[in-house]
Amino acid sequence: MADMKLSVRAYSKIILHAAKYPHCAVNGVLLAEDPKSKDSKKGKGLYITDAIPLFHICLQVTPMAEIALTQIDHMASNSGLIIAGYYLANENIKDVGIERAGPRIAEKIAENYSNAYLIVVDNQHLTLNMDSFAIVVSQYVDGKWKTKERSSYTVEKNALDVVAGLLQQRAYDELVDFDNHLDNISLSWKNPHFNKLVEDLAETFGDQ
Amino acid sequence: MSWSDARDLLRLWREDNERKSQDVVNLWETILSKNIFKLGDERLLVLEQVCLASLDTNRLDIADKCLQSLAAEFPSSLRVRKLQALKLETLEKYDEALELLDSIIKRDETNAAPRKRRVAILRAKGKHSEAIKELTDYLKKFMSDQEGWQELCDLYLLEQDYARAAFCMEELILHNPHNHLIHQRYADIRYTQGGFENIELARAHYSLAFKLNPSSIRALYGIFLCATNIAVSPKATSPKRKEATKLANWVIKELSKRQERQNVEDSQVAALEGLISSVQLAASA
Repeated sequence: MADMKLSVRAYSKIILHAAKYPHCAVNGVLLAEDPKSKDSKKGKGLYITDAIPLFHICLQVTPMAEIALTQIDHMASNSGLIIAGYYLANENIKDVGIERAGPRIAEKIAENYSNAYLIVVDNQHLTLNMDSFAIVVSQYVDGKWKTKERSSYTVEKNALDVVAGLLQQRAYDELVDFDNHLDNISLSWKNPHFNKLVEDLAETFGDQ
Repeated sequence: MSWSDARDLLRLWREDNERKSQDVVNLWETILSKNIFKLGDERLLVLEQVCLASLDTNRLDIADKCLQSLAAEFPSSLRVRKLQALKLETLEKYDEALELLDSIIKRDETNAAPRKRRVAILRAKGKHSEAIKELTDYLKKFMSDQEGWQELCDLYLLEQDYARAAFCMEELILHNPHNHLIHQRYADIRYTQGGFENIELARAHYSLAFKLNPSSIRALYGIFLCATNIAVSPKATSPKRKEATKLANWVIKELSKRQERQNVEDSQVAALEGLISSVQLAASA
């Protein structure tokens, strides 16, 4: 049984955020259903439902990250979600380490949620056809990030097809990260429009 | 779209230094490649721009054609050779690219571009400390190259050497005292370093950035963070704390005003008000 399940929406946002800025490192947070809330099914592992794309400009400085985390935390607690992890994609195609892109934020998240997840985008597996999951998943255990095996987590069905579809449509132009929001506050980092695109596309793939 | 519109768009992107590589390649394929000889003097600039864009988007077929046209026009040009080195970089043939760049540097010691490409190659290989060393040597010779200082700052940040990154930003401030982005980035670095003096410095620069550009939301948020930090800092004197609390409240009002203007929902401000109330409790203690 898997410890963690990643939704189509979260996976799409992670991959498309990386695809939108191929020349930059990008990062963001993972939101999951609060395991302590009454609605969540007990004992089924963590369900990461959403990802909030944060930055593509200068990931190493912290002030905007602090603002972002405050606002996301506020929104999450009002929606029965928790900040359960952090994702990043490095600027260098072969780099899957975390030292370069904001390790401080990841540790801060782990302080608040002890078994936080870390997803690093495996840039070399990003293709238009998405044959395999282009991520490396780790979890914070005993003060270190331990890589998880592929069998310990599942990704919601149709995720690969949905992401391939979105990439071919260039849907990443519609994705708003926190940097875009800071440049124009009428753009919402909650991405209601993009979430709808993902849902609609997922529906067309149906219950295969 | 007509070919003259496409040409104007490319010129705009060239002047603003925008990296819209996919769009450039699309315009080339659909409109401009057939009309290339109508462009007159701009033809060569467009060829260079399309060459760079096609290298960016892995369209080596287009890149080859552009390079052939450019090389035919200027057989011994160093600028064209630099583009050929860039093509080698795209193919990840870094050693050959470095050799070619070295030969260009030997031919012309004052040519800055191939030296900068060397730094870029080192960065692409992931060798950040060597890139930093090479770039610092370069900047000793070409001290007023702002792009170089910006890149050095980025490299230092990647290595989490905030003190040296701040120094690079200080150089840029000297060159551009009225650029709000530089003040804001400098303030970001100082805030990240932490400590009371750094936060006061950050606040000063965020305020200057805001004065230079009143629509900068980052500067506003930065002022807010610094003010809240100062208000709870044990090193701050009581009048400073009161001033900081007033400043933080003012920022919240400014943010609300801007959100109303743009019809944004107010959850952003609500989150910050939570922070402010915790600050007020601490400041009054």
